[in-house]
Amino acid sequence: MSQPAIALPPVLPRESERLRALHSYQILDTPPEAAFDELVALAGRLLGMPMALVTLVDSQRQWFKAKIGLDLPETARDEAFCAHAIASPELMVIEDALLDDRFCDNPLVLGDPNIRFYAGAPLMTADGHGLGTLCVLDRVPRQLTDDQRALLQVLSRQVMTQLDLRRMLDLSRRQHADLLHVLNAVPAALIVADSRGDIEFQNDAARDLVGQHGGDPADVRRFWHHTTVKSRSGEPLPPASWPAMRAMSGDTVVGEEFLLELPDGRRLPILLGAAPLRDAQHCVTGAVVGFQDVSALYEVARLKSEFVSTVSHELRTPMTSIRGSLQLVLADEETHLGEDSRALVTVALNNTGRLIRIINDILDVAKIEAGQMALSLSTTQAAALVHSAVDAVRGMATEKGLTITTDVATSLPAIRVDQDRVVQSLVNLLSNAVKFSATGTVVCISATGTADGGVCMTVSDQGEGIPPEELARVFEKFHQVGGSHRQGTGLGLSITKGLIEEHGGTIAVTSEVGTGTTFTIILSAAPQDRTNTAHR
Amino acid sequence: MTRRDSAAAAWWWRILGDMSQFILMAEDDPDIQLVARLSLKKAGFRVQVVSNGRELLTQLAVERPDIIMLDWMMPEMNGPETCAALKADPSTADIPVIFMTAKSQGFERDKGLVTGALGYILKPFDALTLGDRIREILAGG
Repeated sequence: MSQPAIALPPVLPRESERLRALHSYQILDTPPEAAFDELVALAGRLLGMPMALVTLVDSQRQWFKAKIGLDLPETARDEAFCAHAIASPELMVIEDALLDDRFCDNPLVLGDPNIRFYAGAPLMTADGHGLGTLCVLDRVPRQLTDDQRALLQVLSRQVMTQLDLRRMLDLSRRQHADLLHVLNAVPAALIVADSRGDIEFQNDAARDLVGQHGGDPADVRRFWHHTTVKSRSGEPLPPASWPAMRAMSGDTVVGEEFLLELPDGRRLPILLGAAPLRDAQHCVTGAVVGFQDVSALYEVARLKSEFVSTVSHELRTPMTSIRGSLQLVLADEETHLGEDSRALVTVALNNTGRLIRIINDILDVAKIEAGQMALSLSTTQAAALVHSAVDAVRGMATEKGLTITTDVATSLPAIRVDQDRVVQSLVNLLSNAVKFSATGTVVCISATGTADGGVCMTVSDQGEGIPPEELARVFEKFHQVGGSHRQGTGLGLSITKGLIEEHGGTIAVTSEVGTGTTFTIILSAAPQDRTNTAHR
Repeated sequence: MTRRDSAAAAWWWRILGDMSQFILMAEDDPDIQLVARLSLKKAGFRVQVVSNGRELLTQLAVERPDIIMLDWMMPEMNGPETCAALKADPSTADIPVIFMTAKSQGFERDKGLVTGALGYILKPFDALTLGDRIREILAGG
């Protein structure tokens, strides 16, 4: 004899879509959760039912997320009352299962748990899919008042709300994990600081770079308290100028170089960017700081400058022999050179001199760039420097028919500088002025005191002037005004700027096309002695 | 030049009673040696050139120079080492020492460590005024 045939649940028109919706909640076969347990307990209690369930109907079965009064974890879908209930958004009430054709021969009615009464409120998604029900059951026939029906429906909507919240929380956790994954995969250190400057987050690269593995989490948070931030050249910066602090005052810092001194004593050159983090009201709540270790780049720069310096040195030795030999040949009355030979040797000698000047310039640039310009500081009068510089270019000016006027204020303050280097700077400016001036014009060099006890020196010409678009570039290496091929390496002004800045001074230029150009050097009274001045 | 030749030369100079100043120079580059020697000869100095500090210390015993000129970087015994040895020996401590060197990084770094040098002439030097520079330095310039 066959089993009594039960009425199969209806086939749902959008079943595959419904199943996809159900699976998107990722809840089947998960452990019990208090929110659902409490809702079924509440439903059973309020309606006075011995059994209450949150059921979810998949393709084969109904599975119970929460249950009271029943020991089964799940039942076959074909036997499930709920498989019928989910077909419509309405509450399904079976007051006596034995009197209902669909359920009178259901094994759950005829045998354990002997269901006689069933009321199920479907868990409907926004798209109208019934995922399952919140249902209450009894072993005796029952009826529900309108209030009880309404109550069951309200509770079923609460179950649905819990399902939706649970899914949103899962999604946001997953997105958060994905984001963390991305942040940790970024090959640059990222740090998020709160408004007090404490670290809220650091990615793996930051942890690796600054070595804050494990340890006291409070120490990690107070990372900046144990770290010193210095400028690229090694000057300690006041905390207000630290990038994170600047970001918190609303600035965005892009591509700046700093030196980090870590608590363990390591010095780390970094390239850094920082930006403020703002809340919905646009108030700054913290800062995000991203940086990279650029030691390798610094090493390359150091090797480059060492290479240039070595090569320049190796070039000087042969240049010395060549120039010396040519000088001696020309100077010796006993060598009977013909007119042409004498001219050719002179060409060789002049160009040797030019090569030596180029090598000297390149070496100066390499030293300035490598921060290895060693200044020999001594206290001196600006007037003496001005006069030495003028003496050096007087011949060149006379040859061109130019006048050089000097205007040096009396009683200038003494300055502490590397005399040779300041004279070299002034000679560079003067010889440029002579080069760009026409016969009969005047080049003027002046020196005056500044309000704060320093000295201001200017070199002005009445030359053709520099167009505004080129003015900003005159201090660049190898830049020559008008792309001109006038003699020179295009390094002079770049060196001059480097030398003056090495003294802690400033150099500026103003120019008007057709009127002339003025360079202004300002040297402060007591420049910082940051180089080795040991001398003899 | 062998030791015997130079001893003979020194003897000749003594016999001839030459009053010009005698410079002993250590310089490893043979071309610079030639240029410096001819330049100084033209300027009225008597010059003997050796290739490094060790040879210079040996040569001292043959004839005591009025002036010692040292290159900075040399094989065997470099300029600063030679200068230190000269200054440590009371019999040579009073001979004026002048360095003739390119402005290398090593020179700039170690210059401060050398004591007893009277002056420095930077390479590339001017062959026409090398002798004048030496006289300036001797005169305290």
